[in-house]
Amino acid sequence: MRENLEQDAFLRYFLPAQPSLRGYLLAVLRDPVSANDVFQEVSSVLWRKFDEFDQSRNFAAWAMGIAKMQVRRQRQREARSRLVFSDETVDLLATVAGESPMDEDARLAYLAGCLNKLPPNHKNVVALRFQERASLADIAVRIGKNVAAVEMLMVRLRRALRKCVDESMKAVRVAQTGTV
Amino acid sequence: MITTEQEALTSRYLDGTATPEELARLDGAVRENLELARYLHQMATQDAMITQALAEMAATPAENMANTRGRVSTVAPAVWQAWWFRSVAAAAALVACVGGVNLWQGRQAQKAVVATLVEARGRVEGFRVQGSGGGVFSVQVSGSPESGVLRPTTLKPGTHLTLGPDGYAKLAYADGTLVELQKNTSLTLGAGQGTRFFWLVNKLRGKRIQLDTGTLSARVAKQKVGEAMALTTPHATATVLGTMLQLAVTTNSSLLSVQTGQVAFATATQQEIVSAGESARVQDGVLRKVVEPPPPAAAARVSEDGAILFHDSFAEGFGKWHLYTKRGDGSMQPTTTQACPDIRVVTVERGGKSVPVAELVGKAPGGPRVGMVTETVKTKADAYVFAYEYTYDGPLRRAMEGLEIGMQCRVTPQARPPGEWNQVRWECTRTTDAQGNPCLAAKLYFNGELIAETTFLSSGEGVDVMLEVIEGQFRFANVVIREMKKARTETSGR
Repeated sequence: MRENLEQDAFLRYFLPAQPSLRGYLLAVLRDPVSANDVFQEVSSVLWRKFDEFDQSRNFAAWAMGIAKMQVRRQRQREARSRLVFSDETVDLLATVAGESPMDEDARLAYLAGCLNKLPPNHKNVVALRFQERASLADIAVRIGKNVAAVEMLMVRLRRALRKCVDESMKAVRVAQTGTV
Repeated sequence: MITTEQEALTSRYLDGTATPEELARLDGAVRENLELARYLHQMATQDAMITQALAEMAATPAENMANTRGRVSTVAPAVWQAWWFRSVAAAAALVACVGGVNLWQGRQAQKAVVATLVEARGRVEGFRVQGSGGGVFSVQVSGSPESGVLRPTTLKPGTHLTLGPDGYAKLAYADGTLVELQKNTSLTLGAGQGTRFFWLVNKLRGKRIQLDTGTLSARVAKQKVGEAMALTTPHATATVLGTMLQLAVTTNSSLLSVQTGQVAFATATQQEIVSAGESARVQDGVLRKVVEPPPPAAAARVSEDGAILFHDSFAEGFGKWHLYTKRGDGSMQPTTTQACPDIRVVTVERGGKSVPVAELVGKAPGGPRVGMVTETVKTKADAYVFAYEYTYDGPLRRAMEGLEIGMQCRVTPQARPPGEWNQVRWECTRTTDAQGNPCLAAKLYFNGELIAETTFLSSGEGVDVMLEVIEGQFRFANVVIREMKKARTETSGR
């Protein structure tokens, strides 16, 4: 059994980087199931190789390097006709994801509040898309709209949620420091 | 600055509705615009967080239920007297009842997919991450094979397990499904995300195992409709409703062998129904059934002397009689199994000494069978080889010996390549032990080479066991016991 101290140290680095890692995998793999599978693999590799991690370095960047390798492996596995980004873009996204994470834990907390503020019909669409993983075509049938309208709605929902989270964080920051 | 068009393109990409041309456009734009790359990553991260936030909100329904009860209690008693209200209330009660059953079914399903690590030897590492609050755990067992039994550990869906070169692990599910993992195996436990409203199933749920590499053997209890267990490899998926099987994965192939029941084995483009006794392999993306070769002539030659006393094709799988685990002192610990519920350790007199043996009762084609473990056999092969006496209380009504080679066998240097038949032969000659008691000198041969010798206090029979080596593991294929009219000595292969 690994020492508890080592596990604590790992968690201290891993947990803040976790949302960014998930985001990277979703950005390059797009399929949430594949992204989750690879996330588990990457987590496992990070834990196994944690001994090799130089703690003076950026953990997120190190993690993204490993994630990049696992993504390549996954892309080879799924070599059938899937729409995928070029290797150059995959590498660039790993670099971007390895930059300092942006208060992800806080964003998650605010996001829950912002989701609750959505009107019920929009909340339903979000649940269909992200909980049931329904396709936009399915959602369109279920809410009685066309796909183009649902696409536009998704753009607006993503924008609104991002704005809501940003503003919530900004408001708290102002309250704490008195400055913007 | 992110343009409205880039924003829409990113959203369509994340929703899976972008066309190949749009994907190429986004790909090029991301490479040229670092801000767009950051935006894409942020939106994907937000998508992942929305899923997580919704899951966490759904996991705390108690408050919502309390609120619902509160609303119901505000109905005025006078309203209850109205016929229409009674009808609506009855319908609501039915819906609540159905919902309750569905909720209960959901909980049952959740329970059914949680596995317990009941045994581990060698290096076994488990890993799981859940939510922003952590939940990482690790299991690492090392040391001698005998020291590996550990406190049962619950493994939830999402757990990733990795076994080292000396690793072994056994997982048990609440419904009795057992999964054994062999060395160098790597897998992730999962659960189907489907839902069920009584008999209406929208997507499959139930147990899921993603086997990345290595070998697992499974005895799958009968699964409910809509909750088939799915074993997925990088090459194919085996869907199981209840069976015994073995699944072995290498870099470019997956081999499924079914001992009982039927398994649907499918790649993205092909599907085969694999029945008991059959195997199927996915090699380089092509799925085909494997035709098992007939037993080699050598086996027939050994057995042609006498009448068949016992034959078992192991169509019902190994472990049908009983399972053994090795104790710390090297002796074998008999374990009760479903197929052989009556097993206990008893003491018998042997050569003037009290010897603990395991007594078992099992069902056999020839009637109830009673056997006693006499002793473990010292063997040159790295295998759990042990012999036991059988007494048939059926039409045969005679005593004989059998042997079992446990599932933890390692391939000896003499083993033939994976997929080819190997012969294990056991021969007995009449002799006397050190105390002058009549006994049998038993010799065990593996592909013609003498690998074990022991003595037994019983009459002599011959046993042929045909084994197939699958990626480093043995699989029982056929056991034939014939009466030997004359004892013979096999020349060692060396």
